[in-house]
Amino acid sequence: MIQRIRTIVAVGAATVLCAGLAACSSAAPSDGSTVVPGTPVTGGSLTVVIPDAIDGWDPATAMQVSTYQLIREVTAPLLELSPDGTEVVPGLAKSWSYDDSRTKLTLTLADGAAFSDGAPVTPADLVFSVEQWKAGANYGPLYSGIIKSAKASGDSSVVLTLTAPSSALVPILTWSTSAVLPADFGGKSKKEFFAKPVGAGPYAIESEQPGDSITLVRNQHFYAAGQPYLDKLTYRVVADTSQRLVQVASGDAGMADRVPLDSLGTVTGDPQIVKVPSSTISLLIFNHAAAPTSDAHFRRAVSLSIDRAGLISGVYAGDATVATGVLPAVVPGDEGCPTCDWSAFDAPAAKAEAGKSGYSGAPVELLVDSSRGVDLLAAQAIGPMLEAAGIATQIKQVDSATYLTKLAGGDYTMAIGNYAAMAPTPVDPLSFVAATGFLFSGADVTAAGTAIAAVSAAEGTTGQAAAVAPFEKDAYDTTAVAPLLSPAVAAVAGTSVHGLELLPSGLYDAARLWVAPAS
Amino acid sequence: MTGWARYVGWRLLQTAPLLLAVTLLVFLITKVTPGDPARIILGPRASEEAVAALSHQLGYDRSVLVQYATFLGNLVRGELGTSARTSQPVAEVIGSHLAPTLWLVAASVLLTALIAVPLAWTAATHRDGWLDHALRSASIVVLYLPTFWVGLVLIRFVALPTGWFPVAGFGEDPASRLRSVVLPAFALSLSLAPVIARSLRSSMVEVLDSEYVAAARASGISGARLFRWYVLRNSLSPAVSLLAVQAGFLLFGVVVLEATFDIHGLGSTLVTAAVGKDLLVIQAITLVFAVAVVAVNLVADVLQGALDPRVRPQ
Repeated sequence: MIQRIRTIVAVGAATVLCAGLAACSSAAPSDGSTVVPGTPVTGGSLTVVIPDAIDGWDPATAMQVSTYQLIREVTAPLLELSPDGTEVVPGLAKSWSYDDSRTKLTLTLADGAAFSDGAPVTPADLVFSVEQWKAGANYGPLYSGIIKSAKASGDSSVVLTLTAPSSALVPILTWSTSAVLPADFGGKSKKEFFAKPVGAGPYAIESEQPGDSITLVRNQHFYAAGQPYLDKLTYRVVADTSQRLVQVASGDAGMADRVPLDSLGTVTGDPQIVKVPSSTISLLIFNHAAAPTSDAHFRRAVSLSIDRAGLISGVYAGDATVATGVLPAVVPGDEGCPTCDWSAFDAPAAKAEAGKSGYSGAPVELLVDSSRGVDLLAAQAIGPMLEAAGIATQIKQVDSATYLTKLAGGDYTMAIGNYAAMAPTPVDPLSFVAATGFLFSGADVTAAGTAIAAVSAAEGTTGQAAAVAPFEKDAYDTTAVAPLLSPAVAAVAGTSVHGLELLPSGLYDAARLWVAPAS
Repeated sequence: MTGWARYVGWRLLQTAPLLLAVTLLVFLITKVTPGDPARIILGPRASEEAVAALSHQLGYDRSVLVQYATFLGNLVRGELGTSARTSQPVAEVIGSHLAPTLWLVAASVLLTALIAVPLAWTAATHRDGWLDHALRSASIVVLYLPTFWVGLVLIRFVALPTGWFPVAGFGEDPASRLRSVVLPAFALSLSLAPVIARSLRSSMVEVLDSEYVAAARASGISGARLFRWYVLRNSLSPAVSLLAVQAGFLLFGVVVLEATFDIHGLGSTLVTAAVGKDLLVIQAITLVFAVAVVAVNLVADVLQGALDPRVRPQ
């Protein structure tokens, strides 16, 4: 019923709402200077409406994208990403270098790096932070598998000793989970500290209404001179997409991030729609423990039945690209496998493969998360495609909680799923693939594990691509899952909002956001 | 002890098993609906071991009976537990989201009365005339308009173009809070007022035909005095009863409209908790709603007794 309420509200909004006004946010140069067009203006405030509440400030248990976004604004990671998300650039650490054996990584802190309470960031803080990363419940094993120990070196450096050479570590240091925390939580208990953490990110927490809103203010001690531009940044949780778009249209909010592609059609007026290719892969997941999807011929039949290009033009209005592999193509170091052709669409061949599988013709259940409207549309488009190959399907919509439980418990036959890479290294998506038992399909994860080790040991993106290729080839040969496409990621902002550069993960650097004063 | 006190005491006693039944029902519903809370809290990356450990920590691996008994025991001690998603005490969650819902409910009831009473009076005094027929027909049309749709129309055609009312949220001060609940309360009252108005009209027609009204008229009483002291007072009883019966519908409307207008009250918190399988929050808010419905019905009974001596307890 609750899910239905949301659906009804969303569908109703799509048919009723159509207005768009431009006003949003407030800004005035804090020094009273004349504004040069295109030049960032310091001062002002911005309200961003986000679809989900953060699940706490502890990076070790972060799960929601909103959490990743906000954590990095308060407790910044050691390193940052370039605006296109493909390169690691200096952040709190101004430089890094490996020794000859590539088992020691020396990181040097940025000049003037300080926490928002004014205390300088020291190597002791970094050593303490590394220990926290390694002890984390969700990501701890990943950090522990790479970092053996951390030791302060001089006044501004720390040396990380690795368990083995790893090309993955530096990209992973851009994660929100690689947050720099004050040593011993600044003298507080862990619980007290994470109730209102102090970090070295561009903003500090001013106030929080759990589950509702969070207000951040400029960190006066931020290491990057002149940034952040905004005085105040408020995040408000608004679950309903239509309502978020209305708030941007009315000027109640300046920006809505992670706007579903199927809702962009309801945006009118003149707000900016910022879209970039995402690091998300949308795919069909097969349960390898249940018939008929336990049969590789059947899985191949399904994959060959799907007109991915048609799906992109019909469902995604062209805002997606055909998947080239199980891992997102935008991740540097992943080039799929040269001999794999996931775009192959061949109904007669699909029919033949279905015949070889001994498929009885009984309808196959296709599980869809009903909160993702675009997935539901995709499922509705895929049904007739499979039907043409003689495969009957039955769409089963469930709420997000049920969807995840069913997937994790193997209580499904086929499902439409999505996952995204957050860091520019194939180890990131590979570790997710392995941790989820090859995306909940129950497929063998040996190749993924081997690929993680090989990518970590490889130098340069060419070497990493070669290390990933066997995994991609194995996934293709067995059709363990059927990658479909990689959709764009979008945000909608008022015309006065500037500096919004979306990363492929949908995150952005809020330190660069600024608002133009009203003319 | 007076008759009233005995009556209220007896009704309160009657509500105890009802509330117990509600807690059991809510508890069972949250148990039988699919979705593992521990998995949802930890996310897709978490191992089965971590999920099992959290389930154990939260007590979800115990028998349903033990879980229910623990829940009831905590409830009796006034401990509503902690939200599994935000780690906030559930009592705090309710406390911080109660005000918007109360404002919305109060404004809706007030607007319902302000719409229903004049409409009913107009229809009753123009009985079987074109105005009566038009009002009754219009009330049927309005009654079947989906509440969320009315809300969206109000956002589009009132809030956005005029800027008089916010499209979303709940203000910081009384004035801005009043502004923020006007449109959702109006949307909600449009779904309640037709029912109340029709009931009130029927009662008013009966009262207007009564001998005591004729006698009052004969003794020169008319206009506002006749309406207030003879017609309205004697017509209200069925409408009050009907409004109490509609309390459940009112709360359902609150859930829908809080979502439509992004008002972070108990209704929208319930939706968020349900999506995230935050069991303790779901149970607590549902219980609050149940208590509210029971309380409204109790107040309605008392009010009816005050309005109509025939239904007063002896």
